[in-house]
Amino acid sequence: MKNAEYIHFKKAKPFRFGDVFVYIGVAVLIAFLFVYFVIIPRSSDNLGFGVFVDGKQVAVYNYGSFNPQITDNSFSDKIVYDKSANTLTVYYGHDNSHFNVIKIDDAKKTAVVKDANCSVSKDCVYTPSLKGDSAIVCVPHKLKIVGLKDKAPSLPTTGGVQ
Amino acid sequence: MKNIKLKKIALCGLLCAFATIAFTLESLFPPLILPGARMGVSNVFILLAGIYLGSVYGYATLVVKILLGSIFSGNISSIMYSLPAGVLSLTLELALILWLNKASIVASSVAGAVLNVTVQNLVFCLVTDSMEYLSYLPYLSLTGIIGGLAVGFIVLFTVRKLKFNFINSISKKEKYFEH
Repeated sequence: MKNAEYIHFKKAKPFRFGDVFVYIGVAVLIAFLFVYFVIIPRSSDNLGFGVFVDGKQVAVYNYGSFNPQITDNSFSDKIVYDKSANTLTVYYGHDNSHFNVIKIDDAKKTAVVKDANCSVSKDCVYTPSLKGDSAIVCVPHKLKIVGLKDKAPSLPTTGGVQ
Repeated sequence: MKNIKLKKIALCGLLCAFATIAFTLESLFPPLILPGARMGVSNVFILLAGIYLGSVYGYATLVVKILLGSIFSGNISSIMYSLPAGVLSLTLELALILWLNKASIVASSVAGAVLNVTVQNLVFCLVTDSMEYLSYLPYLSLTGIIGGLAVGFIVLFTVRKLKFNFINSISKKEKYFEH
């Protein structure tokens, strides 16, 4: 670097005049994101959630029913519902070596992934609980849990459903 | 002049190693809100490489950190999300500091961190075909600001104290070893 640029960095200040535009830009972006994603969608309560593996719906649960409906018959032995703990476990693989444990909270009408053996970081376990339109995704297991706004009857859906 | 280039390459390699180690260690922490929202300590070394050695070495450090860091930390699919986000954010930061010379180091680091996190989340939503994750964008950007501030101040204090001509000054001691 040339000498003039050395001096420019030697006395670098934490705040220069051009910073104002940068901070205004960042604030505008964040305000826009908040308005678009938090304030405008007035989300009503979910009535249940659907479990999708690899894009296909495999189970539906309506809050308060204590009875999940398995919509994909090839998964009928791979989804285990524990009524006492109110958890739904999904197994993968021929030897059921991989799993995700979904804990259901009927009082708050939401669900979280309580345990999984997908990877070291276990992103799905740390994702916040279902709220409004949000979803929980476990990428290594291709699992997706989405809240449902209407009591969906157990109809198998083809691919392409969000 | 060949010796200066070799020293630059050696220094870039050192910064790449630091960035990879920092990224791998950070990925062991549980994620704050969502996958991908990390503290971003590795951005310190990438920004230092960009300022001291030039933009080409900055991009090289970024690519090495993303490739090696993703392999070492266990999820290779994060290369897909981190690469475009990293390139865009580094372009913005270098543009603000070096090419346009309009903003201070702290502000450009904040802007780069927010852009990084936003683009990462967008690509994640597009790839996993789940638009619901977009609702976390505002909260992720807030954590990006805090990370960007920390990184910016670290780089600022380093740049003030560490002289730029230390690459050239190493060659002055070389005559003791040459014979």
